[in-house]
Amino acid sequence: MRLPRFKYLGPETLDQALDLLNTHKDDAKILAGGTDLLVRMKKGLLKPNILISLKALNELSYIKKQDGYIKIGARTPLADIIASDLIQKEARALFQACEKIGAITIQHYRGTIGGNILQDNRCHHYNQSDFHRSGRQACHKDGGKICYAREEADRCNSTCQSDGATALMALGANITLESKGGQRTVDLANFYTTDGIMPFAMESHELLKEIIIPLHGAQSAYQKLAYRSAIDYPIVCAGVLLKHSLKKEIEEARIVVGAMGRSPLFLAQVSSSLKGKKLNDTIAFKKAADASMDSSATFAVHNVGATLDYRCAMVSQMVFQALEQAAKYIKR
Amino acid sequence: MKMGFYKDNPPLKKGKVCSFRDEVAAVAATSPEIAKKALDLIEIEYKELPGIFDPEKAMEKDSPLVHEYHKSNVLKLPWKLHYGDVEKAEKESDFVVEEKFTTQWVTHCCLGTSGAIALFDSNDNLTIHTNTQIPSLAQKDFLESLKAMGLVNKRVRVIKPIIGGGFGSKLDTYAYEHISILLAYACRKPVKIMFDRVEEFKATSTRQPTVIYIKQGCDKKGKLTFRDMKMVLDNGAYTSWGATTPSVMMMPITSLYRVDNVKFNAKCVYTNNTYSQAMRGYGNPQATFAIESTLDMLAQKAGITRVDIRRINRNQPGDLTPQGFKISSCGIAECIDEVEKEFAIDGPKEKGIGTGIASLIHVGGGARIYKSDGCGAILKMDDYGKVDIFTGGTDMGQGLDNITAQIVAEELGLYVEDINVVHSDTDVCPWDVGAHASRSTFVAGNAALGAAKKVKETILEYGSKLLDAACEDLVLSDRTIFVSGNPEKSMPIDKLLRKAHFSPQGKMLMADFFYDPDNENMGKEFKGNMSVTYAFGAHGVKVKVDEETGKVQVLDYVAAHDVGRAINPLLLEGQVYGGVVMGLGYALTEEVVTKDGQNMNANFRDYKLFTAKDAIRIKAPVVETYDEYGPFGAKGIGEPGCVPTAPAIANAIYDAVGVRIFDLPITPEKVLAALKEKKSATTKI
Repeated sequence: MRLPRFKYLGPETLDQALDLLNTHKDDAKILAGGTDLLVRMKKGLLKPNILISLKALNELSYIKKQDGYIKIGARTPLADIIASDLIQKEARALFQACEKIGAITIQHYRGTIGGNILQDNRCHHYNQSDFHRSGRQACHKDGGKICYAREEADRCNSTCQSDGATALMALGANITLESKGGQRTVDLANFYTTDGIMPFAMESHELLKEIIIPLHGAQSAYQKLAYRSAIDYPIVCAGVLLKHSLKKEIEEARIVVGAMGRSPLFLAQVSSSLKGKKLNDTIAFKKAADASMDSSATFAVHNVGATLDYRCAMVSQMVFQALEQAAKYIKR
Repeated sequence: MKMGFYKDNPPLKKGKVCSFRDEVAAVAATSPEIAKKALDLIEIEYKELPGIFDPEKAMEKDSPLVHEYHKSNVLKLPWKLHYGDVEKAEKESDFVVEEKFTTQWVTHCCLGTSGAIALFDSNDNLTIHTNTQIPSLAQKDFLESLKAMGLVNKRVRVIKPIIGGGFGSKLDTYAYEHISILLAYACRKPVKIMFDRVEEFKATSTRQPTVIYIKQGCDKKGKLTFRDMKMVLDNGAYTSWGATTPSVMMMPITSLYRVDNVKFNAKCVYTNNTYSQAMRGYGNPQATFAIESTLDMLAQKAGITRVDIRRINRNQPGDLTPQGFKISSCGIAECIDEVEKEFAIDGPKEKGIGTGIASLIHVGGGARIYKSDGCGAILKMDDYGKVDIFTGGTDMGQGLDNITAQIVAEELGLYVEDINVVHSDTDVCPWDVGAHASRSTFVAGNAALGAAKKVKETILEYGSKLLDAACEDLVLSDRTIFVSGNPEKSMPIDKLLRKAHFSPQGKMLMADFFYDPDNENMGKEFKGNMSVTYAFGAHGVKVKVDEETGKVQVLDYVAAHDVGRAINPLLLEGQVYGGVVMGLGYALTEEVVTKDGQNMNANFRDYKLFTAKDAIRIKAPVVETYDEYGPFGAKGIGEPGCVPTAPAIANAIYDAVGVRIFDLPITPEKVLAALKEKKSATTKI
């Protein structure tokens, strides 16, 4: 498949990039690694007239520890995150997630953490070629009024399959959005709209600049289920974070389930049920894992591969394994 | 204009469309953008008709007909055989296993997508550059198309460029090739059609899905008594070679292991799904999946080890199978030994870890499906000791050019780099039935060897005069001809060639040879020695099953093959590795997902081809049995690698966790569901 024609703009500085974005807004898309964007353009899912490339903006590529936070530039390649001692030690879930994204070539040459968070939702019925979609009525995400994944659904049921977003939400990350003359920082958990058509609460003149992960002596883990060892998006994934007290009791837990809904699902109630539990309380973990399954099952539709029944059953597995792993790291 | 051997497939459909991939209109333009605009101007109104997507339902009386003129959805093809007395043998059997298996659509996934360029000269002769495995038979198809267009007595030149894989997908001509001809004729300009990946997935043909009913029995000692198989094949809306795969399924059914009483009945059924084609193994993987899975079940019932039941019933050199196959060389026993050497199939095991074994038989010395199984070669030598060989054989990535060069170089005492292989241009190269049935090394190799032998004779005659020695005392080696035992008496071969050329009544050396193997067309009862020799093999695999997720991890793999002789060990290993990985995908992950006949995963993200990260280390021990008919003893190895993979995996999963999966691919969810069912069954007891 061929890439449609577009205009390529290569700003040299962040200010220039924000200027261009402000001028062109919806007409333009940001090009970082392109591993999600270019595939969508080839399929005719996106038709931007202009691409603003971040290629020259090395200032957006960094990983640093500052004031009790890890700060990551949005254009940082996945390979750098995987190679980072800091991430491996203090944000393990993110390390584990990035390691499983795409394939080594994608991680090394192209894929960026910002792009991974901002990858658009997917659905087997929507992510098809122009030709495939031309032979039927358009679905919600394609500008129509039909959902092929769930009969008579009045809105889009596309699924967020980002590995990185699920892990980062578990880590309680914030993101900084920059625009011409403005900047705002939002909790990643509030960044999502629950709208499958436009899953992010982001304006067209805004640019994702930085990811901020709080460091609070917690341990995290990420588990992903996919058919293959590379290329595949998760059919289910889970990111968890456990913070413990001196008595080896859980002080705070965060359970996030991915690839089951329009955004990664932060399960606040289930998470808080682990408060005060011992780190080796397998029964409590099992209960939380099953509750995670029940909470997320309602959001999922059959649209990313494996059967819905199987995906739901596996939520519990992924959550349980992630909890066990995080607890194990604390005990070390 | 109708394509395919059943002549039911017009390149451009009208009246009624029968599947999602039906071609209905074609446009040629000077740019893809203009072509797209032109396509958008075409308006077609469709009336919705009921579709039929399940072959067994399509056989029911009140099912809608895919083609009204055909009167029935069942193809009129005679896939039926019965040798011995299966009913009697079943009654006399001590143990019988009866099961149902199903297999899915998978597709070839050639890395190079399909395409063709057609052009006419001013006399309406056609030249077509096209991705094909069958230059000579494609030429015949295109001649028929020209005839249908009113162009009689014209010439067709087929040129095959370097292609990125075939695996059977290019064994028949496709609508796009005929459409490129129609367009080129209509606009009197060269017309190119190139598929993108989505089109490659949607508009080329798959391996045929099957529903398999099998019964096998043995006596108290484990000796096989009978095998009874029935199959329903989803033919799709049109007919290509997929509908003839039962002819090859017959091979393992009648001749994998010694079994006297065999019965087989296959029906190909029209549906509104995509139509099937040849694919590596040609029906053998489906049949072997059912045979080798039930063989394990039979062994368990009879209380015999899985290895023993295979040893007891193994094929042996000199066997004549019920179908009339003459087994010349046979290394199945040695292949089983090789698997056992790698890991104890019936040894002690760890929880969740299991081993599996499965064997195979395949044609290894041509396959007489067409009226001729031949291949021609023309060889000429120049004044510098170099050779040009014009072969009918088709290299599609498997390395035939290299093999041909090696065979000629070996025979003429030259180096591989002295041999230039010219192939796949029907204006220049002799006839060949095509690159299929693992026949190229054997048949095209024998053709090249035949031509080289003829030229060698002439070289020896000249050498005899020039070196004053008897022909039988002369040796060709290292670009030199010399007297055996007296190497000082020698002459460089190029010098000899010049002396032959530049003398009165001079002569340049050339020869032609057409090799048609001494195999037999199968008659009405499907009896006959289809291939001059047969290839054997055994695969062993160790897997780990995650009982929480149902995921199967392949830990270790050994693929032992009887290859006659390895002419090029590196290429041979490549064929085995590639075959095994293709087989692993077939067993575990690959499936064309359809919704009402429409392909829903036409891309490499959603079609789960094994990635480099999933591929495992494969040991490929080579068993050399030196076949007397093969070129330098070689047999075919193109297809065998993917034949016994799925049953080996299924058997290993059963060994690991005690559940058997009868439906390919063996996805984690199927394993998990079977584990659950097993658990609830045991708790009930």
